[in-house]
Amino acid sequence: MTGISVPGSIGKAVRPDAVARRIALRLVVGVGVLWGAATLTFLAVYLIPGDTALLILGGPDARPTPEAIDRVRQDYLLNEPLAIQYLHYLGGLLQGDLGQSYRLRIPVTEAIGQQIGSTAQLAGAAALLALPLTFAVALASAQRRPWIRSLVSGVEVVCAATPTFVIGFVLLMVFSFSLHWFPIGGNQGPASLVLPALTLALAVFGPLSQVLRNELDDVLEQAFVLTARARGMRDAQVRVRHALRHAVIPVLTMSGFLIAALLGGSVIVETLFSRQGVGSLALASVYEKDLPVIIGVVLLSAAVYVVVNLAVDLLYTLIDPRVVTA
Amino acid sequence: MSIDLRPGTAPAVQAAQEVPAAVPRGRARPGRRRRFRPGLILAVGFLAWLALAVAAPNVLASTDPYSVNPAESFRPPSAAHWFGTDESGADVYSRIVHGARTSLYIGVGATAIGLVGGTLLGLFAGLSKRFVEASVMRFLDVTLAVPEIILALVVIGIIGGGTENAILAIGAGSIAYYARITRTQAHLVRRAAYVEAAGVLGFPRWNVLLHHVLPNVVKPVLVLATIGVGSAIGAGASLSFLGLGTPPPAPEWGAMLSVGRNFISNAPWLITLPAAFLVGTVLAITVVGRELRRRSEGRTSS
Repeated sequence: MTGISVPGSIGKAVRPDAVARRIALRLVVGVGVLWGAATLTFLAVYLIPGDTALLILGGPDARPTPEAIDRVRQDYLLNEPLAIQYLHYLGGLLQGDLGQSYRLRIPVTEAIGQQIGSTAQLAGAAALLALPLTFAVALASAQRRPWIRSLVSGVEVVCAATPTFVIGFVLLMVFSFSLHWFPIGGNQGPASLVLPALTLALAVFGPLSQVLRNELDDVLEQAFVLTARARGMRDAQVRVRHALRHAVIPVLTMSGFLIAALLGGSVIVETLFSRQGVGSLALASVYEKDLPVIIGVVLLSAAVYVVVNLAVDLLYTLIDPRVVTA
Repeated sequence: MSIDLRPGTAPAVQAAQEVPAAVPRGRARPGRRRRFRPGLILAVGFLAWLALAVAAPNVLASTDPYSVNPAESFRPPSAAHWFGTDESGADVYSRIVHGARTSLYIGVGATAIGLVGGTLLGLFAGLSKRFVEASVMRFLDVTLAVPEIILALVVIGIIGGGTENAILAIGAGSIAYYARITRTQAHLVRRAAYVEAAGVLGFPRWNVLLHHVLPNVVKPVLVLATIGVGSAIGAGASLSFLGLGTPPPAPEWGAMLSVGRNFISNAPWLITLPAAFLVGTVLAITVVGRELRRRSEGRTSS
């Protein structure tokens, strides 16, 4: 890599086997996290008060016949000891079987599969809005006059302190009810995506921008920046070509936060804008105590988190080779 | 091994930066040591109002927040009803004032659960053998891998909704966060010279733990927890908005917003005013919490 030259790493090339070992280690940890998430949710559901068979047959109000209860108990292995149930559950997971939804009477994978596209669209659009916004604001405001800094950090704090659904309310009132620019909700076409994506983007903008701007502030005080300026580099060039590369690492570390915020925020945003998606599926499942679907959403978010962290880890080694040798 | 740079490890990063760098850090940041900060004064003032609303809501609003009067429904803000009335004719200002108590109850309660659970777990991990520590941290990684709101959904899916269950759900979701900070802090303190000195002087281990390690670990975590109260209030309101926290007839800000959503076009004050107080509260707590953090950091680094 050019651009980064640190005394400690001069002449010390990154060994491919070190990278491979690091990735292998991360993979093992990632699989462990997934296994842990699966086990914890299994135990939590097992500890649930009340009869699971009744839950499957329609909650406490339903009055199923004893035969129906017996049949469900047998179908769902509820009479077997905990260890057998657990092994059966893990075996199912390994084959990609997350069980049946109590409410929808279809496999959980199918229920989530139907909704995941909509949520991916929302999260992707939000990330596409949030990241350029963050970089533009942070690059433009780092190490500027006090009033600019106060203004920008004020906006960041307000964005970070405002609950996502309140951001959504404000956007709805301004752009849907007053200006009539965008529909108030639904999944119809790109126009219905704008406000939900913007809501989610503003929700993650605050924390991201705070971290990036603080980092840029620190980096712009480093000696190599002075050197670059002394060579006659223009300010914008110094910021983009030199400072940004150093400041971007802490932001990358926040990818886990970003993904969690986008996924978690989708529950709120999809409800507020009456959108379909994994978030509204999860919420409907909570209302109806449809535990297999809730578990499925938990495992999905854990899996996304693991994959993103793995990708970020690889990116580190590209941006800053010191990470591997350390 | 990998470098751990996740957000929870911020104190370690800060501590590393306190080591004199080879490169001079340059001039102090502008705007850092301003004497007059209107934002801070505003935040403290708002929190004082909030404290009064929690302690004696009837002093601020004499109308009963539950009083139903269909003839008076959807009145816009006026002299008689400063903040207007809602769909059942109840006074919105009174409901906001009385709602402060529930919001703070959720915020403080959830933070207390996260703080106590997280501090104990973090201390245990930070002061244990490597294997035990690694197991605890991997366990925490699992909960960190799932967004807090989805964790809260799981907890509520199992134990049901309501104010207390929402507190439990939010609190349980934040345990991992506090545990990570506490562990990092415990590592720093454990290696500090004064702890080593106490050990060399022959003080018993429990004595050193109780009088030297514990206070120095807990103080910075407590400061961070003040900011945590703000975000827990936001989370509580979000759960009520989703219909999983405090149920609607009660004067709770999130529940008010959840109901007000149905009247957003003809009675916008049912949204704007509770939302303003919700955001104002979270913001004021954040601003004051950051000031506390800045001051405590200044003390430890000098």
